[in-house]
Amino acid sequence: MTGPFEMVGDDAPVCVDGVCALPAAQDGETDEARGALGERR
Amino acid sequence: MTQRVKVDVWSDIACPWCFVGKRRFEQGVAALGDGVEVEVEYHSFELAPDTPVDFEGSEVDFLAGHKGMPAAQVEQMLGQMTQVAAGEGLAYDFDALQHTNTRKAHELLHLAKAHGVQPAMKERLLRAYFEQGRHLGRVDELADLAVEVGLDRDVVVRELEAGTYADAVQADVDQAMRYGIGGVPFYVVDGKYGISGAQSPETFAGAIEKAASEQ
Repeated sequence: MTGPFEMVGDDAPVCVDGVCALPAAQDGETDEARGALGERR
Repeated sequence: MTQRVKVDVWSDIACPWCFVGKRRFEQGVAALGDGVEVEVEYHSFELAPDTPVDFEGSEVDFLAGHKGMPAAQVEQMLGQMTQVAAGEGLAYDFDALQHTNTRKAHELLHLAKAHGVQPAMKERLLRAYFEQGRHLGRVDELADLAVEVGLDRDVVVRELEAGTYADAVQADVDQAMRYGIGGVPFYVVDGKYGISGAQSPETFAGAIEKAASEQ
């Protein structure tokens, strides 16, 4: 829950502090390969 | 009878996922048909408020320096982001992108809202930043873009230089903090439902339909 809202939807990447999380990893990809940064919400 | 649903969107001009999310949101709205009318209001969120207006360097340079990330990792992130954006018909050009402070661009968006052209201004600024390498930290550049959506250039220059809408920008930023919004894009549907990130068109449409049915 963020604030007073009922959250809907799936886990989706956002941009945080100038850095953008990458799309969900495909099968076989490691976190390192994704280079995922920032938070996923 | 047409039902009206309000969607408040917190986003930054310098936010790659925000432009992707905008396209997916628009696709979701387009799928709703005529029974639901959606009003969109954009709110200010600064991903990196300490960014200087004039940064001499590329986007890779800024992120590598600002976040201490290896340049290769930044390049991978930007490359993948470019691919994702291309899937939505957006031609991101991170080589041409001019990294800058987005506070004045947010003030312009509030000015545009006061003049009834905020949606068009938002679209124009996003294209200018991500696809056309325009410098959105400079008043004269913002004024040139504002004219394209029907605003008066002299009014824009005067209001931006005076900081007329600075308090409105800060109010949005403060509201985001109160809501616990730490990343963008973030959508609030009819003041009830929160959607975080660049979700699918179906997710946006579903939330809007649900809100409309509960009016």
